[in-house]
Amino acid sequence: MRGRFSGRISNRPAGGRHKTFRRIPEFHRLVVESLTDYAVLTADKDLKISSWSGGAATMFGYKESEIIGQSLSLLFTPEDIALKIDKSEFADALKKGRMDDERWHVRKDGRKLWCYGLSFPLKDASGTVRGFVKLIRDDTQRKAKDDSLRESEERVRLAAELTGLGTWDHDIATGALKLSRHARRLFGFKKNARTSYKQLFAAIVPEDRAEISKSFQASWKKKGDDAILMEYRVTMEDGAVRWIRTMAKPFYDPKAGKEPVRIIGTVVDITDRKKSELDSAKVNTELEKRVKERTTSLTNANKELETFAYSASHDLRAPLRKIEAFSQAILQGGKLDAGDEQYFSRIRAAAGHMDHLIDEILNLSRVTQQPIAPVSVDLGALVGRIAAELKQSAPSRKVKFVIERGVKVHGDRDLLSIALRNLLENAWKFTSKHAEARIEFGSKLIEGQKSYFVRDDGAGFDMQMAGKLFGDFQRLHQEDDFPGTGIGLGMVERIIRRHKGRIWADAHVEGGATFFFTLYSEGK
Amino acid sequence: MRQILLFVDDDHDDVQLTLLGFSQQGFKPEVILARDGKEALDRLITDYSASRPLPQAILTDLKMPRVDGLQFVRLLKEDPRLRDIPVGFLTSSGSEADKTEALRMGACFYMLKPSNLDDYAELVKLIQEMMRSRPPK
Repeated sequence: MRGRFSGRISNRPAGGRHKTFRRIPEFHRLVVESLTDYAVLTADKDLKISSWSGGAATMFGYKESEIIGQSLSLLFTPEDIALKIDKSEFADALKKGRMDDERWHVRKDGRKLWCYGLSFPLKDASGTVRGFVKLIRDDTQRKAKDDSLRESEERVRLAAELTGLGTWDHDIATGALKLSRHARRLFGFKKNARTSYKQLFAAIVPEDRAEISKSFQASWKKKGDDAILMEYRVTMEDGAVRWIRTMAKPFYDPKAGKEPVRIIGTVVDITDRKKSELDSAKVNTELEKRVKERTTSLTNANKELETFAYSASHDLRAPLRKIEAFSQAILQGGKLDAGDEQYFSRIRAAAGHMDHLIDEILNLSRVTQQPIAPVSVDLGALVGRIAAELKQSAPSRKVKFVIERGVKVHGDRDLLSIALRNLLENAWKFTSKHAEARIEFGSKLIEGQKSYFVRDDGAGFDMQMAGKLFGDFQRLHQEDDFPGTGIGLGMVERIIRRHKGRIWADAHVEGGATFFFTLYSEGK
Repeated sequence: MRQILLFVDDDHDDVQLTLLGFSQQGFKPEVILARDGKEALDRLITDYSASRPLPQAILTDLKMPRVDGLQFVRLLKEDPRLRDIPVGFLTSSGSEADKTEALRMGACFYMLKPSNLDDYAELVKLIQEMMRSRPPK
């Protein structure tokens, strides 16, 4: 039965069991046996194994002696056998002259091998088919590598798609543009349509193109490999507009010109985000507009109120003035008895006090209405001048003024002068019950900000009342002890506030009081 | 020598207080009263036409009906027959703008109505200075 070529291939010495061996030229035998990475085997027409190379023995684990005469099916998986592949493969090889394949085969120990195989029929001199030759290469390791690569690629692709990330790869040298499936969808390309950078650029809304070119040019200029971030709109076939965010990374060839040779990037659909951004921007604009309107109307209302306060207090003064003057006329007439005279004195005094209050209200509204004209102001010099006036008003008082010189600030001279005068007059007033007094003006850093202070060692006040200090018409002392209108500190507070500063106080009953203030232009 | 003062004020109380202040200071001019700028102008023009003596000085309030103090002085200064009569303001308006405007138009002084009768001494002094600057015709 055995044909000329069906001799077994073996490295046994000549004169072995099989007479056919001698028919194979020694050269061919050596060639076959040197193919240690390949299994070379032959089978007869009934697909019974008729020769088995050393490579085959190593690969499949069967010794030549145990496999010769066995069915080729032994090397196939049960699944392939069920599909009759062990038979059809050779039928196809016969039909086509040769047949190559990639499939799983089974070793003697049951382990599977992923193999590349090549089968072709063996014919004798007359062309009659005698059997088949099969060459098998073990690709299990390569397949494992390929599989893991494919798997990780697949994982990356899946991750990209799940996060809505499309990828693209533009080879500038060849002009080829590769887009991932998702990227194609984002740009509205049909599934198998050819893609080019030109087409992609054409999909972008015209107004957004210049910005993209600008981003690219800026990156080329730097020749940096920083990712370029761009957001732009793309028009779909149906006219819908989609916002896309692209991260692109350029790659340069040091030998080539200034422009990169390749750009790789990602694209992601940010339409929803953009929409909500635009919506919130709209809401913000609307809010800002409303705040502005409210502020304007509040400012106007404030101005009206101040104007009203001014004219109201003005009109209040006329009748008061008459009460005072006519009372005086009656008193000067000398026709009253002692009791009536006292009543009229009280009427005059009350009218005088009210007149003073109105004066203060007028001052207060002036302080609030008068526009600020900031110049460089020497606070120490101002304090010195006011102190001199105070001393002159009561030369018998023993008050020591300690004034830090050269304290210069930026502010409205008139207003700051009014503020200092009020603070100093307060200090002067509240030390009046002490035989000797010390009033100090200076500056110091408090919490990193330049602060100014007026300190006295007078009557002081209870810090629990400090909240009422700057309220209009608020008084912490009895009128009989320390006369006043309760407007002064309110005015000082307004002036400091108009200078974007802050005022606060520290005091103890009979332990003196210190008023601190800051101004906007300082310590920033 | 007749001392004639034209006093323009719509407030009866203020007129009375001012006259009281004058008399306390021993100042007793012949006072022609007018209740607003229009009445004052009419009176001046009538007197001028009738060749009656014109006042040596005018004292005027600021806020009055029809023609107020500032308008009155403006019209007065436009009239060549009357423009030389000196004018002083006695008002309760402490507005800096009013004061500036009054002085700019040629007023001799701008004084706030006093609440103390003793303060009329200052006013009397100012009026007498005006009268001295323009002897009677």
